[in-house]
Amino acid sequence: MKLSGDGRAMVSTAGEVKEEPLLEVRDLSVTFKAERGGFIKRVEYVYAVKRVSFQIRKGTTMGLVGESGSGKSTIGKAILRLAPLGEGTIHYGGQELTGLADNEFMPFRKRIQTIFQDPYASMNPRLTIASIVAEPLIVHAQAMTRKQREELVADLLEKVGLPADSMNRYPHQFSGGQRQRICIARALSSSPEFIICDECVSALDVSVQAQIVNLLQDIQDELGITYLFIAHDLAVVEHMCDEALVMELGEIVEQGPTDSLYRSPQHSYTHRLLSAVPRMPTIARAH
Amino acid sequence: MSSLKDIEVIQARSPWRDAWLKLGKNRLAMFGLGFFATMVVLCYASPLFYPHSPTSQTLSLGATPPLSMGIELRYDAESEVADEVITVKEFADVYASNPEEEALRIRNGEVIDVDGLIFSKSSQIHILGTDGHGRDLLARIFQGGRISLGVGFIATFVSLLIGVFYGAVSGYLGGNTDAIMMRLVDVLYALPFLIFVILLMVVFEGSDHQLLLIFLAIGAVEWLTMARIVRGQVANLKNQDFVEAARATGVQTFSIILRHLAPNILGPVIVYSTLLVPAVMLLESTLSFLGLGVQPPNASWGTLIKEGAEKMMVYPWLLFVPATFFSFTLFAMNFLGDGLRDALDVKSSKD
Repeated sequence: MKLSGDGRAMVSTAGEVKEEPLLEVRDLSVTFKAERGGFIKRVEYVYAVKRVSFQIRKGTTMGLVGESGSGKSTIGKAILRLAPLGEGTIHYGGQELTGLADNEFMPFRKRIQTIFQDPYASMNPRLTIASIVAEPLIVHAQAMTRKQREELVADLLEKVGLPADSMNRYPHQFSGGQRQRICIARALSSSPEFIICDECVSALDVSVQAQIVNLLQDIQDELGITYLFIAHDLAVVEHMCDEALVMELGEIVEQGPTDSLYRSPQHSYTHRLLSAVPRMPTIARAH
Repeated sequence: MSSLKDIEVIQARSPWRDAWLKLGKNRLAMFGLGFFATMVVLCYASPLFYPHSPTSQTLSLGATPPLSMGIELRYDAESEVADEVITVKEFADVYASNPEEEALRIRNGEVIDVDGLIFSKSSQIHILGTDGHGRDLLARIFQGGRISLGVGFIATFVSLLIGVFYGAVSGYLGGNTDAIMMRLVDVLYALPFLIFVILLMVVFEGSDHQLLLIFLAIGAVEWLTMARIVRGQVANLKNQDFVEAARATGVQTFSIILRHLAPNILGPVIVYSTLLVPAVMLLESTLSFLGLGVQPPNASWGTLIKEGAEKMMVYPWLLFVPATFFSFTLFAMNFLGDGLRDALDVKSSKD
């Protein structure tokens, strides 16, 4: 399933790209208002994301790396309208998202799901696992009966490697890795095509990280889901992604297939990022 | 399969159930809950079973100590109802020829005849004595309790409504709206409460709605803290990942508030409300003690304590009895509130 080595550069003309990209972001900018000064305020606009363009092909994994504050999470949030939409366009499956009204955007909330970074904060501590996993269903599959929902939740939990009896428990009864599995089950419940993994393994132990990454890959193999994999851990990105974007201060400084990006980084920032990873050279050769 | 299901149910312990179990183990809190519930039932149900009326005055029985005997006086042996009820002291001073011996005989249940007047033991005993007007003190305490607890509940409920709504709006909207709304709260906090109440009472002097004014005055101050608590909780919660996750998947704002915010702010709100009830009761009694609160013939625990304090050198029980009821109720409520706070604290209940 993994497409390795043949990733096309984003600059390639439309003729060369055989399939339509699932997600195409063009010149996306996100600005936040920042107020400076005390009593008399000066309003300044800070670019969190500045003129970013990229495409993600169906069934592939796009890595998005950069240090904290480089704006990588903001891109994920802008796609789902959790961050204020700035300039630029987002096309998803051939349709432009930026102009849509909120209710017209709803079907896309079913097709695009997110897995968040902190498995402790991303679940409501007062709800059972069943209601957490079924939440997208309650919104997007209202025709489903309670029993159907329960069966689907049990299936999903099994798929992510949790016993079906987890359903009636509460988040505080699970470990970090198990919670992230529950979050994956929740993301899968609306049968999405595209999942934004927002630093979804950063908060986990290394051994658990590997389990979760493998789980995500298995799911991709089975369901053909496309990922936008946001991370600051370069080793994980290399293992997981077909292509990668490197971000610095809100701008994409380099993008391309993971292999060539890791073997011969062009931008000095990518160089620095790669040299900050202790075991990088061995991993790169081993791949 | 069904037996497996049963096991699952046992394993599934909701945070609320956990909290309830934890509260059950806290003896002091359970004592508080029990005492408070008993107090509420006694105060509100007392007209059904307690024989004395809080307003009927028997001047001849003025200020009798607790458990003292009353003596029924009949001018005619045939009459069904006593013509007068007098104290033992009055009997000894005015009627008796041999006070000690006759009083003892009456106490033992004998009916005696002194110069054609029939004396017998009154079947009704004032357990906690009577006040200066001969009104039964326990009945007065029950009546006062109805008002004190009522003020406690209603003012707490009013401040709960205003505070939760105001705080939730402020916290959820954030930004400038939040800043303005919270500065208004700060300004109201700075208002000297007693002067505010005195002004209110002076402006509306002699109005029939004195009790309403008390609710108003107390409600106007007590919602501020509630608003701050709720605002802080909501502002914190709305940035949590699980709210973001719900928004990302398309859950409507109303559902987010109902499903994700409300259950998570309920804990602190319950705890604060439990602690607010005694605080409000204390405030009401302060006002009543200063003569700004409940006006006669109504009574509250505050006015009873005030009346008692005026006569505490001669009739000490008039102070100590209502004060005991009052402070025990406050203690009970505070114990319950503390217990709830410990039980609902997610951090301390983890693992």
